[in-house]
Amino acid sequence: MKKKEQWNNFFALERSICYSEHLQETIKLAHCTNASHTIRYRISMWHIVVKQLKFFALKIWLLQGLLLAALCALFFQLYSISVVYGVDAFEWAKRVLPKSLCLGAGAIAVSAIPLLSRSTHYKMAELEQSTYFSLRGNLFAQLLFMGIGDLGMLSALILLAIKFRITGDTIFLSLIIPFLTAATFCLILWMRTTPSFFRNAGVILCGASALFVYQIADNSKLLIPEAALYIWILYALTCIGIMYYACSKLYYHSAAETNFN
Amino acid sequence: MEITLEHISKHFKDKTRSGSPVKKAVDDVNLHLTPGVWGLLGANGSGKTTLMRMVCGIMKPTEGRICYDGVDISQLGDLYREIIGYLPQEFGFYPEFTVQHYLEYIAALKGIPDKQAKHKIDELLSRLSLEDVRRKKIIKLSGGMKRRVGIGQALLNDPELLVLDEPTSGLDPGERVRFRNLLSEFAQNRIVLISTHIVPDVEYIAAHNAIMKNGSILQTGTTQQLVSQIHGKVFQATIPPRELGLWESKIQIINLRNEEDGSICLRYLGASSDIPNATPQAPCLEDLYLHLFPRS
Repeated sequence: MKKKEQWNNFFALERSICYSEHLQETIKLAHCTNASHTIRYRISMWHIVVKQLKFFALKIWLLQGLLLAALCALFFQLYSISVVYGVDAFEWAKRVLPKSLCLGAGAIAVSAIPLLSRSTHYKMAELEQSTYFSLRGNLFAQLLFMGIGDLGMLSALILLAIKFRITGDTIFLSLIIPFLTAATFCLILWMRTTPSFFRNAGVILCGASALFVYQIADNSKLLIPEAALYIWILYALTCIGIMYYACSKLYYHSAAETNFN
Repeated sequence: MEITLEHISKHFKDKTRSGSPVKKAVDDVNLHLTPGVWGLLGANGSGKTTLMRMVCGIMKPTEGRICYDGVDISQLGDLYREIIGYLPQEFGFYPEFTVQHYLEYIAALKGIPDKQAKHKIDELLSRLSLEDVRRKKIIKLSGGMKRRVGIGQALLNDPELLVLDEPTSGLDPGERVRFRNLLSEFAQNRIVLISTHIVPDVEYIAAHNAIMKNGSILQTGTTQQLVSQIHGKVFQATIPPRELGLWESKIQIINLRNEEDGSICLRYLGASSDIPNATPQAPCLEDLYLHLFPRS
């Protein structure tokens, strides 16, 4: 009761005093609220994603599906050739598959590049950026669809590897690590370089990063066999963290300055 | 409703030159935009597009600030983009889009609910005479029709600020007249900012004009105020063809027309009646443009 009386006295006093800073803040907020003179109802971000399904999802998944089909077709073609030549195909596959998985991981990651650069390539970026949802509306949907597609492709490759009795840690070091490296590098390049550089050099650089990190991972198994896996788990978490940071920065930075060249 | 540009500058590093000197695309621009049509005139490279991008909030100024009703647009963020309609100078389309799909796509990015978007798209397609091609791929349309689609997307969200960068390029005279009428009707209680090289388009509908040169605003005012400064400097004369070469080097020719009798009718800018029997003419905005940008 005593406290309530104290608060009542406090507010009674507060009402009669006008803080200039509070007044300025109130005026600013009133302007902000009044900035839009008409009541505008808008859709949510998830509604955008649903609408983008119609425009982009099928295209993205079709491209990724074709890529996966091409990778698998190439592998099985080589597999059948090895059978024809009397090589122990299963052993051959076990030897070749880790490198193939690395190449596949790089290919999956760089398949995002033509999709991400579509907006600037077709000169839609400037217009999209001036809308309410800005680039992030498009970006969020596209990254989500690509992520779903990538997960599907990675799952298919993992199943293929399991069929040939490749161990879990080999799958992790040959597929997941190169994929995360290439994908992280791809996102960083996209944010930091010009669209033309990203389109032209992104494929080579991201693919090379996947191969490079695979070589390091492969050699680390020999050098530090006990600790290698844990180090790479930490590395994978770091890549995921960087990707999350990059995506959230792209998402929340609504008025990003885009290089329109 | 007003947009205020306070000491707006935009600097770029000129990487083509050694030392990467700073290039001032926009230099200390101050402008106060009120409801009505504003024409932004200037030669190529004068900074018009850069200024418009900053007004739309898609490019941050190096210095200064832009305020909407007294509030910095960087603080308004999404709320500011909600009230903008923008037509860039160079805009493209995803090749698979039909006119309908394109407008639906932009409507979604503008946050417009489906029912409202459908109604607005039908209305705009009708007003812009695009109903017959709504299911046609945009890539197959003529240049003028593409431009109309671009104008349509800018009007989707009933913007309070409409920014149009070279909106009438590619339109035939009939389309330009229709477009001017559409804008004039739309501009009541709204701010419309148009940049164009086609001076007559701005002259007919713009209540106010701003002329840019080398990143700065040279002059602002109504068309009458601006052209009054070259009053008494515009003349028209008829000369024989053999004298054309003589006068070309002496006066600034605005317009040259071959007459039926073989003579040449010249409209020119001069300090006095340089050519005998020349008659003074009422100046127009195009005359002023050529007076301020003699080489463009």
